[in-house]
Amino acid sequence: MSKDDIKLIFQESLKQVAPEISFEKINLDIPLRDQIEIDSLDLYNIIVSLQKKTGVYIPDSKLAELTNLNELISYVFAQIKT
Amino acid sequence: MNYQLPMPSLGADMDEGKMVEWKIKPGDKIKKNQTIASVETTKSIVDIESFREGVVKEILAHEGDVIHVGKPIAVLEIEGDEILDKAAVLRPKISPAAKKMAEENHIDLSTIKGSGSEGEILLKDIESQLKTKTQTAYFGVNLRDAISALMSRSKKEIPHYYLKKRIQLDSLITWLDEKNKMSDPEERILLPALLMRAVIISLKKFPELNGFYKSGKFEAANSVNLGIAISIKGGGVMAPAVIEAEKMNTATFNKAVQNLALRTKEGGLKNRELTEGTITVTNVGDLGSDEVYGVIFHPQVAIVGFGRIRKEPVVDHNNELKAGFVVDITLSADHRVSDGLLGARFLNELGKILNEAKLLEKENE
Repeated sequence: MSKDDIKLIFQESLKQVAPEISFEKINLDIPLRDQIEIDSLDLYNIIVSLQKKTGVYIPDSKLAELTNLNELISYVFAQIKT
Repeated sequence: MNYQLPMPSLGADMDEGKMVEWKIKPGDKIKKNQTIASVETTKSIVDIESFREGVVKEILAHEGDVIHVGKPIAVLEIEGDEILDKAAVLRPKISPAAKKMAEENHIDLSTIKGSGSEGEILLKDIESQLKTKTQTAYFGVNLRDAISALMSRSKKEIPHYYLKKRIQLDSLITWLDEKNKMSDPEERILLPALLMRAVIISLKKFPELNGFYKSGKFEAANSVNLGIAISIKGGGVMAPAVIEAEKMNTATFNKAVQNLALRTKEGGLKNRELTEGTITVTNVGDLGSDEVYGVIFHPQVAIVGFGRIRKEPVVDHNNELKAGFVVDITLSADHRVSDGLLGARFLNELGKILNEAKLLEKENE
């Protein structure tokens, strides 16, 4: 699974949780909460969906450190490789 | 005995509601707490429940009608004689021609002031109402105005005092990481839900923070109906409550919070959830802010605020400096009911529970 695949999965998960948000407008290097109306419950729903599709569990201790989408995608990618 | 079912108030900021859909019809037997209709308020479409058992005798409000809070929407035939027949007493006198036209056009008679010599409703009153009805569409009260009125009232009437405590979360997050790792993704326990659950458990020792201040005195609540401030997409905030949250275990409460948030955004809240909150929590961690001092939702007496969960320098048990997870938890409380000493003890108890995950886990398990 490539980083682009993970990005696509995130895009699908975001669409399920917040269909009104256009993924194309999201800057991957800026914190999500600064760009879109998304609360912690929405974010958890995306993380759960991501885990179901990739098998990668992101613990809360790690989640707090992943500040933007690029970091999140890189973390999932690294976990898949290991 | 007839009982007139009124349009319920679904919040202190609600003046009227639009009848969207009836889920009952004349002749139906209804139970207490049964969903009977969907009503649109400024904020959301809400399922309203009956407070009484009985048989539906008459539907007074029609779908599409905008009804003021307290005005009758249906008549129930109920058992017992403890209720006065308000329906008969309040039903306005009306001429036959006016009644016919009102029925044909689904006019809510309770909103019309009759111009007859004894206050009876005449044909011209209905015609006048029809003219007005066709000119006005329902937009509800502006949400910004509603929040403005509610918060202004709280700040004007409630003497708030404020406290803050920084709580270390390393042990809780380590415990949660392990627990969730072993669980199915769907069963993941959310960290915000754990913080809320700690509030619920702490309130057992501090009933002065859970209840209402009405008519000059405090009424402690019998259960913890935990209101949760939830942002509405497009602006505004609602604070629906998880009812009787103190009876739930961690897993049940976790699901209840998620379900409540979903229904706040997509519709389907119950009237109890909007009107019977006994304390509220607000979480600004999502927004990136470190702390929040909330405004108490009248007539409640306290609101607890959670800031951003983040890593900060902390001193550990060996007096060594390290990076650790912390959260700033605040309490805004009503000084007419409690004092800073009690509030401080409440926050201490909250910190103790959050640092002993076993206390969270064993409660109600």
